[in-house]
Amino acid sequence: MNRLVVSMLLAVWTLGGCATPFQKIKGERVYLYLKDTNAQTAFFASSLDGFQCHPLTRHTKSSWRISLPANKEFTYFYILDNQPFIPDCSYKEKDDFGFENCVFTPDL
Amino acid sequence: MKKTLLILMTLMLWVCPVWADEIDDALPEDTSLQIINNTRQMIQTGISQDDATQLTRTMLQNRFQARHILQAQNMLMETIQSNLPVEPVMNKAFEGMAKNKPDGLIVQAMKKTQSRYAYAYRKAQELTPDREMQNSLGLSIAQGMGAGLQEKDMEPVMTQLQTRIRQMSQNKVGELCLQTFLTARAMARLGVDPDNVSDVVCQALQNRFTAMEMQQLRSNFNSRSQQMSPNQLAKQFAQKLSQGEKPGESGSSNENNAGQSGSSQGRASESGNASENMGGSENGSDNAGSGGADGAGGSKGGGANGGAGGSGKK
Repeated sequence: MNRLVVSMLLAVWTLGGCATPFQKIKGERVYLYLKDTNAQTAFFASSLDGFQCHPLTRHTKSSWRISLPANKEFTYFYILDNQPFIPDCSYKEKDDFGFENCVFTPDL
Repeated sequence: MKKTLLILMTLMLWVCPVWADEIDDALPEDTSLQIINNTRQMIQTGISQDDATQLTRTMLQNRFQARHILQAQNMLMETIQSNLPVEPVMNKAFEGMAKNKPDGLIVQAMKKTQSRYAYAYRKAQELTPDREMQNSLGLSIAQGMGAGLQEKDMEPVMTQLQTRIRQMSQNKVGELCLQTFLTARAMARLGVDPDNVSDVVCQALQNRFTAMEMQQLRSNFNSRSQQMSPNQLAKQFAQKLSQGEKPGESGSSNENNAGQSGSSQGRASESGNASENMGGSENGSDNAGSGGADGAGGSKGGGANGGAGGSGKK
């Protein structure tokens, strides 16, 4: 019985510990995280600078991270292996190309 | 008179080649005369030289057909002449190029964006004579539509608002309209079906919600949407509102009730700013934002093809 409880706790801790949040606000910056998707190339583009494509830098072995100003709203997406990709973000908008963008708002 | 004319002509002859050089230098050598002239016209209509040349150059780099470049340029000129914001339409072009979409599709998407803003600003003008408020309303309506709301979903909200504002003092009208459209926008962005968005917002207006109550409704909806399906939540809100309940009313502490007080703390100000704003950012190894993005891959609208080392801004 004890073993079962320990195993369950371990599983919860492991799953919870490994789950990377997709965004975290620290002070005036928001950190957007992207779990490793085995993509060969990963770029980030947002309305903050007219959708310039920025190569992502690795945060950990299994995730990418990018830091942006947290005081204003912006829309964004990733380009993984030349294909647009969005994580499971709360706020989304249609992109007029049959896909969606994520929307970051400071208050959400 | 003759002297003045002579001076004017000399000035024009002196200025034109300098101007021509700047535009010519900013565009690739083999750019057609028609496109160069159209770029000049864009600048004359009020689009900044940097924006006009950068967009044109990027479209050329992305191998746009000449007719699509001209269409895109003309659309931007039309937009500025209609007193509509140019950035969202221009950003749509850069977004499409970043996503490697075909040029014809990008021009269509620009047109959709322009139409959305035209509709939104027209509606904003119907609600208030205040130019600044018209801008805020126009942006929130257009962004709500960008999140999936359509004209048919906006019309009932407009009707309700027009009924309400007839009974209100002018200084309170703008704020109620703004909070209403921000609420509709937030719900649409959370993925609520347009019909349900319209239903909730209209019910709240029928219940004579104030701007602050509307803001509180949005806050409550935002926080509760983390715990349950936004569509289900919207239906619950609509049901509660139809029973005359308001946010913050005592006795509405049930988890499933719409509009509780207490959960809106720290969420007071949802900005009506356009998400299309360009923003600055600090330098840093993982930063991105205008001016502050480091790394070799910055290529505005240049797409991610070919990996890092895109064309860059200049």
